[in-house]
Amino acid sequence: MEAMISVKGLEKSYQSKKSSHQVLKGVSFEVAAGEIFCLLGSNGAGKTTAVNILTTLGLPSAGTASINGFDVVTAADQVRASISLTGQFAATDEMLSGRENLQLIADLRRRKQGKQEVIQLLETFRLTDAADKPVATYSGGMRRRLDIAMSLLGDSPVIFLDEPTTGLDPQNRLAMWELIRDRTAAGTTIFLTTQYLEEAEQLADRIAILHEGVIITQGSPAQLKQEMYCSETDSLPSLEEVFLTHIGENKGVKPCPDLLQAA
Amino acid sequence: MEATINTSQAIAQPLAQPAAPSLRPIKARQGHLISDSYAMFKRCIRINFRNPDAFGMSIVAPFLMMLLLGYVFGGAMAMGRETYINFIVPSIMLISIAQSTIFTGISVSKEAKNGIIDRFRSMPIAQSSVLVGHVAASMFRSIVVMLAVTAGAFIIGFRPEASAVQWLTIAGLLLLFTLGMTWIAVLVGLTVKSEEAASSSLTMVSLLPYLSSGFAPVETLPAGLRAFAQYQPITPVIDNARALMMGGSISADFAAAILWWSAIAAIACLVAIKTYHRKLTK
Ligand SMILES: Nc1ncnc2c1ncn2[C@@H]1O[C@H](COP(=O)(O)OP(=O)(O)OP(=O)(O)O)[C@@H](O)[C@H]1O
Ligand SMILES: [Mg+2]
Repeated sequence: MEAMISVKGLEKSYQSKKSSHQVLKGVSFEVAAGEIFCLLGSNGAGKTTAVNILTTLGLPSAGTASINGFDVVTAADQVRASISLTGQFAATDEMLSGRENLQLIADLRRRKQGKQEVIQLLETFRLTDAADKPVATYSGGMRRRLDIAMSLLGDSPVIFLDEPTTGLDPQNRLAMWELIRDRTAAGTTIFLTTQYLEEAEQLADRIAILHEGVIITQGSPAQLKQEMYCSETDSLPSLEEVFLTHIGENKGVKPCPDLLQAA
Repeated sequence: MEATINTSQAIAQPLAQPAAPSLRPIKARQGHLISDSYAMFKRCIRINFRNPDAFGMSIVAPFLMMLLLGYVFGGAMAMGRETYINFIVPSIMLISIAQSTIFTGISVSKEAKNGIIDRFRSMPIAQSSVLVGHVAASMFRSIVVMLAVTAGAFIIGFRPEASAVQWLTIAGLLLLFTLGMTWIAVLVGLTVKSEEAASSSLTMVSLLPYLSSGFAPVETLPAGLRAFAQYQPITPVIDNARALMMGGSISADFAAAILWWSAIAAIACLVAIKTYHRKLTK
């Protein structure tokens, strides 16, 4: 079966006058329909850069990527019709109220029952009381909730969430996880980035670690841990240990001899 | 806790969104320029009215300018105060319109850095609707400004003699001027680095009506300025609007006015849309 998201040899460099900075150096992965795929990486690893390319906001320097079978460069319109994006930074209109922000998206997506959907999303995201106040008066977490609500409006088969729960309190984070699971139950494909390894562990069907421009490992959370299972220790490593070991920052733990041999 | 995302409801009553899985058969739902632009227009108008300082000033300032020029300088003019007021109404309108387009330039420049543009750019909509919405809002503001200036002018003695058809011709001409000025403002807003730069460079542009036949007959201007005033695109707009207001007919350079401003609008529009894509692609 064709993958919902397919990325092959993706490269991206940012050119400035003096230098060229290559952020992605040949990234390849596939995401199946209905999967929750989580891209992990340190700050500056290039997660947002990848999301930008996949959501048609940026152009790759080399390589190809397709969503829902459509190429992100040559069939950008079809890609946009297949996706919804929650970017890393709030994408709401400060001067408008929460309701107006959502209604705008409903109008642009030509939702027939837009009004109802807006009311329901406001309710779900606990924004009903602040619905008619300008977003400029919202707290950071309220803004983020509105931002996510704006992305969940509609029926996009693929949803991109770039660090969606950053700035949310623990109870809202848990609730957000539940919403994401609901969406995948309906068959939606989710592309997620996060700095919370627990979030990745809880949600992801598959995790890929982006480091120094390439995907250094990918698999289900259980697989990644299993790979690093060390006969010296009697328990599976945590995802955090897996992550830190892969990016070479795991100072506390002795590298496992089995693993060193494999490398 | 009150402010927690309400999942129980979402589960009990899933949002109207069941059509998720799709491998492929999505038709280029590219969006329709008209309906998307209308949604963007409504948004821009809302933002305008929530910025009452800027919007109010674009109506109050022309009115004050009218009083000042009419009363203070009108008496000194050989043509007499009444005639002078009739003489400057079109120029005041043009200046007010030019100034109100600065607002568009500033909004576009502000927005180019705002995350909401990324959201729009990742959505299945007509991509130029973001800009068209701003331009449509500017046209709307321009109509309000024209009405306000006309009403204000009446109070201080403006006595036009135009027929309904002549008024419509004037309105059409001034809206074409608005269109050109607004696309220039959008282009400047997209090109310059900061809102301040957008504001100051557009303020320079909005001074052009002063260097025309707007406030003094061209013949009375110093030689170099006269040549500029005679051939710059604002002069034929003012001359024709003025003639029509006084019940006269359009002059030979009416066609020049139309051509100038259609060309300016078309070119600025194309370049602005290109710039929008080029500048914002990451
Ligand atoms: N427009 C740009 N011009 C030049 N360099 C850029 C640009 N955008 C990003 N970069 C650089 O690309 C690298 C990757 O950035 P990116 O935002 O993709 O990282 P990230 O993995 O999302 O990080 P974070 O976890 O902090 O969000 C960084 O070194 C950044 O400085
Ligand atoms: Mg990022």
